Amino acid sequence: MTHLRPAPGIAVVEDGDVVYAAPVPDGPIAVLDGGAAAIWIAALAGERESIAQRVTELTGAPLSSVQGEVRRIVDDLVRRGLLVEHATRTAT
Amino acid sequence: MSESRVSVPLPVRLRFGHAAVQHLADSIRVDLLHIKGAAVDPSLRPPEMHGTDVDVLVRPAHFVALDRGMRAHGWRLHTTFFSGSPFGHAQTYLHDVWGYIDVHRFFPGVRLAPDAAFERLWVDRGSVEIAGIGCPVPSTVAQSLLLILNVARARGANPSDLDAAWHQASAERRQEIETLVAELDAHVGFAAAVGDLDEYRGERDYRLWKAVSTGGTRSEEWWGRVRAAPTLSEAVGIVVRAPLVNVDHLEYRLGRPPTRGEVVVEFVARPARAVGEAWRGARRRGAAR
Repeated sequence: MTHLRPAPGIAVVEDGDVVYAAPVPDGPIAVLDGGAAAIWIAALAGERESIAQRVTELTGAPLSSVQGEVRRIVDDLVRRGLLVEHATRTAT
Repeated sequence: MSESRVSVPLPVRLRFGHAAVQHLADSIRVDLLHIKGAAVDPSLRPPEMHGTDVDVLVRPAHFVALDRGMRAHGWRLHTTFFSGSPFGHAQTYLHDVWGYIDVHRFFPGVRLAPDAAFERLWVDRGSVEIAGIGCPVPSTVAQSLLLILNVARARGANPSDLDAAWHQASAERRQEIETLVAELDAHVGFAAAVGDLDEYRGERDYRLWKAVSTGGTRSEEWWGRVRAAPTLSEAVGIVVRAPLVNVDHLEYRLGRPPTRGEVVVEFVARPARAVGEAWRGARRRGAAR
């Protein structure tokens, strides 16, 4: 199981329905509004594999219509270095 | 991704500004205390009162390292210690992404030596998370005192700060604040805020606090600053610097670098402005008699 979290050195401000994320101390600020903000919040709330389900809970949109978009944006956030994966151990 | 077609609101930029300078400070082992704005305890100031810049107090011995680090990461010097307030306590930097930040080397009203005063505030610091980055802040008692001193310096601006930090404080909290006033030797500035300044007429910084807390003229502030200097050499330094044109301040007023001609104009106009202020000050005193 993998989780996502803001990468080290990424500052984050949630302001209403917009998420702002920025590498400090140099910037720039990435502005995640609308669906991207929902995906960011859902991405941090649980396992990477189930982000799309959480987005449907947040937005009410059908799973089939958001899965591709969620995968694309999450991959983009990771590629940009804003989010980073970390493994979690399952309790035994 | 649907990214960045909206402007970034000022309060958001300011939170990033705190986080950015703290991340930098951590990476170069510089001690900072975040003061004012988003760093203030919500019991003292509502979060919506965010100000227009970021304010930090740096351990004086770490200032050079911080200045070098900030310049290496895109901050540009905007006003210097000598061209900002009459106290000469802070330099302002501007960053294209994070906006303005005031770096304080001491806090106006605290007369204890800057290194010792920083250490006193540092030992009982707390921490707040701003934009996900842990930022050291003074204790709530110390925050109260800094807000009170700031009210005095700002000519009565932000009266709600004085209300929250002092008038509404419990007897126990007031005692804690007064103890810290004594430890930091901040009696005169504190008196200027709470209305007891005339009890300190004999103090060297009385005139400076009188000028800044009651709306004195620029020349009254300047003479107050000369008299407040703890040593003769510092007083001489203030006198020597006074006639120099503050090119950085002029650039700020103009919104662009001043031309050679504009610098000359400022140099000529400045004594005239001081005369005008002195004239208006005299007129006010005459009308009050």
